[in-house]
Amino acid sequence: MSRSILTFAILTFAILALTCSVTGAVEPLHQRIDQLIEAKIDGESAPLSDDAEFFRRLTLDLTGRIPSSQKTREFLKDTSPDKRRAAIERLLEQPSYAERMANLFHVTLMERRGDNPEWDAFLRDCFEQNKPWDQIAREILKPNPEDETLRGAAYFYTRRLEKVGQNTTDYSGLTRDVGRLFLGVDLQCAECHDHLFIDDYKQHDFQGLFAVYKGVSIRSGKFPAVNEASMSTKLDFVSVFEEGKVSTGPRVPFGKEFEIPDPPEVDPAEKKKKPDPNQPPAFSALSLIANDLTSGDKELFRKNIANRLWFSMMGQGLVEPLDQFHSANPPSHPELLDLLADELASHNFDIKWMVRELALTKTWQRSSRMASADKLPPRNSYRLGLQRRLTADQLFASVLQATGNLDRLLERSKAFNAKKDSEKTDSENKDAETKDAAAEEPAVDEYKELQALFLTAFGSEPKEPAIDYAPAVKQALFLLNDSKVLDLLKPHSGNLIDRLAKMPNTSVADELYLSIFCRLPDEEERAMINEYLAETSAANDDNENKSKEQSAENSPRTTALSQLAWAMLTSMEFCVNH
Amino acid sequence: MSSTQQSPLCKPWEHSFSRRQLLGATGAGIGALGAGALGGMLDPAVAEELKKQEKQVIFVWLDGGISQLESWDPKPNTQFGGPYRAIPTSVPGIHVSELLPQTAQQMHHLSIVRNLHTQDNSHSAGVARINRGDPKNRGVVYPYLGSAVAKLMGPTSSGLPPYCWVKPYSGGFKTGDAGFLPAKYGALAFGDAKAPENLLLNESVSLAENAKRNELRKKFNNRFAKGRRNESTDANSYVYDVADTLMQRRDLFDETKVSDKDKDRYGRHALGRHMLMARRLIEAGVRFVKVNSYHWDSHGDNFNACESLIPQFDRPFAALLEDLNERGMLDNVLVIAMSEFGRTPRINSHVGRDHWPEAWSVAMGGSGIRRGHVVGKTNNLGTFVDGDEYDIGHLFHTWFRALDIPQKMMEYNNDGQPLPVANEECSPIEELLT
Amino acid sequence: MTPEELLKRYELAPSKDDELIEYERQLWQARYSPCGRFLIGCGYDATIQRWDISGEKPQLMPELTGHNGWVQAIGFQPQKNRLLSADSWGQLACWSYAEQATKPVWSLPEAHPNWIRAIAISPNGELVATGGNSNSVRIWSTEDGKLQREIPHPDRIFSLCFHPKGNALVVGDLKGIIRQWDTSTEAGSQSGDDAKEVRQFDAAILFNDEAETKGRIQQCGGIRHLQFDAGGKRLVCTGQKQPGGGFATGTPCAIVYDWESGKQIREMPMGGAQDGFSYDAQFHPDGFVMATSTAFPGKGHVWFWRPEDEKAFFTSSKLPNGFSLSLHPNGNNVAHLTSKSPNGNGRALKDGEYVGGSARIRLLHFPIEVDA
Repeated sequence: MSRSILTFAILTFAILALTCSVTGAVEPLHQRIDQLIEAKIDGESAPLSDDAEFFRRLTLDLTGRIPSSQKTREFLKDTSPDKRRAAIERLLEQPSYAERMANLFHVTLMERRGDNPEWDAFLRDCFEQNKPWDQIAREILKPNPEDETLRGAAYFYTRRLEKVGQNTTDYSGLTRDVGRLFLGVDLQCAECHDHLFIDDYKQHDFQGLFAVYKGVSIRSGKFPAVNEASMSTKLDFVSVFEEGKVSTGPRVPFGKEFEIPDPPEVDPAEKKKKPDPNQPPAFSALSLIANDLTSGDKELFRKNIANRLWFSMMGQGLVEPLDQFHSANPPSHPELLDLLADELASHNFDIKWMVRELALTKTWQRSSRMASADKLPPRNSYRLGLQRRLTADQLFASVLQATGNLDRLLERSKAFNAKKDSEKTDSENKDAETKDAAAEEPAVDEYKELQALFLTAFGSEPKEPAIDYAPAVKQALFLLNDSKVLDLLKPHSGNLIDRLAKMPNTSVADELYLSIFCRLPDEEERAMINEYLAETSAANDDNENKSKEQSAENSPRTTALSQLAWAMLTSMEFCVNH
Repeated sequence: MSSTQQSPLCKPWEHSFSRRQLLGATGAGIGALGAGALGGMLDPAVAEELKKQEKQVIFVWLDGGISQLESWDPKPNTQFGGPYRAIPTSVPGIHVSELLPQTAQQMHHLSIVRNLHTQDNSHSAGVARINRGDPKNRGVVYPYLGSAVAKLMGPTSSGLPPYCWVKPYSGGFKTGDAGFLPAKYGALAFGDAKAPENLLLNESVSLAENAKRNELRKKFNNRFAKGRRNESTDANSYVYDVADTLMQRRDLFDETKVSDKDKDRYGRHALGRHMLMARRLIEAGVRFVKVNSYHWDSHGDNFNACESLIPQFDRPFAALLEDLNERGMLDNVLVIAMSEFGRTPRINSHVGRDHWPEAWSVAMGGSGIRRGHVVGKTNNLGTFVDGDEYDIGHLFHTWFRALDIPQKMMEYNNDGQPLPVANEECSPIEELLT
Repeated sequence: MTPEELLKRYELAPSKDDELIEYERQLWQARYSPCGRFLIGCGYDATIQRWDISGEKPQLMPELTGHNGWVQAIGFQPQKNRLLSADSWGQLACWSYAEQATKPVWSLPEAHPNWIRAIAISPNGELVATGGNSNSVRIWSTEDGKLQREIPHPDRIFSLCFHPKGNALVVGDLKGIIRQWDTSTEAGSQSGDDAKEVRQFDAAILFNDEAETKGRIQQCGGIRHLQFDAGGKRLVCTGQKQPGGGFATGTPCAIVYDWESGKQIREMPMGGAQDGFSYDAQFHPDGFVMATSTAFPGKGHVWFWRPEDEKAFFTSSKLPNGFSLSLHPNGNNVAHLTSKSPNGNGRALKDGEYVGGSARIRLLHFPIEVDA
């Protein structure tokens, strides 16, 4: 070998070595995840999901609804080898990704206690910008009323501080929720005494945080905001089981207790004045807590978010329940949890990055169906993809998407709200009115109405963590009998039933399955559909108009199509993310 | 340690565990439990036998703590007796408070347990514990009595949901009662005895069409279930079946089907209407009907409170016993009336009574229960039990026996873990059983 | 007098030097007799307690027995030094309270079928009116207990008072309605046919049927006491403003009406919405209302309030748990009856004993003596 080539080789090698040591040259996270999962697998695993399974699951998890039949067709037809990765990238950049994540965090953090436009705007902004989680957490835990884009975060507090009936302010509930949602610990039973059977949870852990929240109150005004009284003394507390008073300053559970500084000297003239509650406190325990809780050394903070993101994609937490982190409740895959938590932290708590990595794993892409279903593997082995019921929000959006009513209703909603806004300037509207006359101006916001109905029927109870989606009789009755639901399955311009009514029988099965189940039917299924439609037309041979292109609303064929669609929408395959 | 009510540190919700909370150690998700708990139950022959007899339960829950001294165990003219008298009942030798004149006339259908001594003096812990039978701590949340009976006995041949709940405020499917049992053993609640929303078949759908679309739905479900976990499918099918059954029985919610006379006998107030609804549900074949009444917690002005509240119970409860007897149903329907504890003998400075689990009473009658009997007693002042004491676990055993569920075969199977259905340190109260 | 002057004159402050009468059971009332020699108590143990207070220290006299349940209502007939009492089992009795004898002059064990909550004696001493859970007012002769007439009502009766001129009887019920009856017709008819309801006074704020507002099923409230001033120009009633069920909390309240016009002059709430009832109020000869209230241990006030004023000139939270406040005929002494009864759930034994409530009467006097 010539000398120059050798030099070149050595140099290249050196550069490579340097690069390796700088970047670490480790495998991507998604591969390491799979390795750790596979290391514990003992037995047969399901294969990877097929394209249809994958694409539906991806679209649901990343954008909050099923894909349209067109998008599904495109994905299925695509032959590029990296189409899955490309789909992941594409969907992460959709506006609906930010909407979906905002909704996920809204339901997780507020647990259906209520809604607030400022809070919604805050969350949407967080995910549009892909803000790091620790920053989001700090913005919630120490809301900033001065910044219009951030102040809505205070709703997390204000909604919980609102008095209910004759009850006193529920500081205990707020303290508990901060522990549960940001650290994964439910200290409910450590308020009055050390936890009776979770050794890790001490009364001090609850009280140190409680001491901070006792000083927080709702600030009255047009947007959510809180006031904080300056904490000047430690909080005394007693155990109902033990003698002796203890006291604590502000303290994040399991963390270090902060000193309370002596209050600053107050000018006697100032003292006489009535204190302004809106003024920031001289000593803000809340700021201390917000920074400490979200800091790099807080293991529980990063493990909690890692666990919750894992749960939202996989359908099960590595630690279950999600708010029961303690030493007697080990994670199913301890090394994996550590990895996720540490990587997330070192990647600046980048949620989108984590979602991408999770979607790239084989674990996430595993099919939820096994050929031999004699003894299904345990849930936390991840040998089989987990089925998760669609959330109420996903179900609503997906029903509209599947039935081809989403765009129509969104447009009508827009028109309604525009009409409401412009009703203030009547004269300008006259031209618009004549234009819209043909389009049938909506009298109500049908989209919002339907959404409210879906959330009432399918949403979890307020203050309940949105993880158990148990089927309920009221959901069944809603889908069986509610007029607005059934109206979605009547032909309206361009919706599914309308399109199907205009198609020949031979095209119906594919379009039905692609629209509702997001896959192509197999031969047996096609045959079943065709048989059903044939039955229907045979039963109406005396109808002089046998043209299958007729789309009369009440025609037997249209009814049959609605029946099929309804049965598919109410079946498990649709209601479940699988 | 003495506790005061309304301690700022302790609020009711804190002591109500949800299933989630205690699942940590087992590590299993809900799905796994569901699969397991469906298996390993009664001997099929016994199950068949039970089905034939069609035993049912009406469980009246007076939330907050009805005062035993102003109801089942009066102590007139004693230090703690309060202003009221005791009146004789239809059973010689048994007296109740003068506030229960109508129930007194039905005493020959009832028995009273006066020597109940339970563990909790707070609503937060007490309500759940009593309703769950206070089994020994097994690391799982036990089901309420209604869920337990729904599980152990299933629905009657009527096919109606086995556990229904008539209550004020909201309706809907309340899964909390089920404890570690699958969600489907929760209570189907009818808020203010009203029909659930969307009960009527939509006018755009004919009966034939409804049958067809449900048939199709099942076809799709069967196809989906192949190669997949099934507990979700089962639960999903179940709620549609229940929905269907309810839709067919919407007459149950039709007010015109009840006579004015009955409405007046039970009373037009909430508890009256709800107990009448309970009767209709039992007649229709619901296995277990719970009726709740709230706000019995008379810490202040107890006696005026009792005058206002107890008649609202007395009247419909007596009417219920009368009706069940008249229809020959008392042999097969177990009737229970209780709270989470009694009230203190000591009258506080707000002329009220506070919580008293030390010595209190429960009334019951019907299936398998001796008639016109009093079990145990309290001392002359009514402060503590005199002699043998019973806890709620004893009552649960007694009730399961009264319903003819064989003791030996009663066991839950929690994903392979066998669990007794009631506190195994307690046993049935033999003298209460026929 | 200005409020400041009134306060100086009438401020009541408990002190450790006060004479205290302790009684082992809870009492509903402790009243000075019209002759001023006795303090009479009635309550939970069906007895009537008497203390001779004419000497240095109160002397307990033999108790009057024969009642059952609770004796909640007593009234004096000064003409013959008689005491009329009624209990929760429906018995009405008449006693010579000044004598040692402990047997009643007469008694009617079934004067009412159930709880007699209120009693009033006509100014001329001839009639005694009773009312309670049987929803009817019965008027009897004080001499021999013969029934004179009966006036039916729609709801339970909680309070009664004769007008000092003797021609009217006011009846307070559960629902916050005060009804005025004309009693100037001849005593002698047994039925209420000719009983004329003259008018009603509205104290509906002292009643709450919470079914609408809170879904509760309890009716709470009631006009717990009625009293005229000496001249019969004003009427005060007591109860709880906006009562709430369950814990029965609300703001203790007295309300004053002008007799002639029938209009409300002043609403006198005292305390918070988590308090209890005002069971007693009366007029001081100087025209102000003296009221007391009780709630949970340590809560409740005594307050003095002139109807003309916007607020009380005297309020004390140091005299809590007051069931009655009795002004001695001499105008100087005030007996404040309190209930000493701990609250709390569960066992709470004291030295192994389960302790019940008891009564304490604090004998106070105004700072500046007035001539009787």
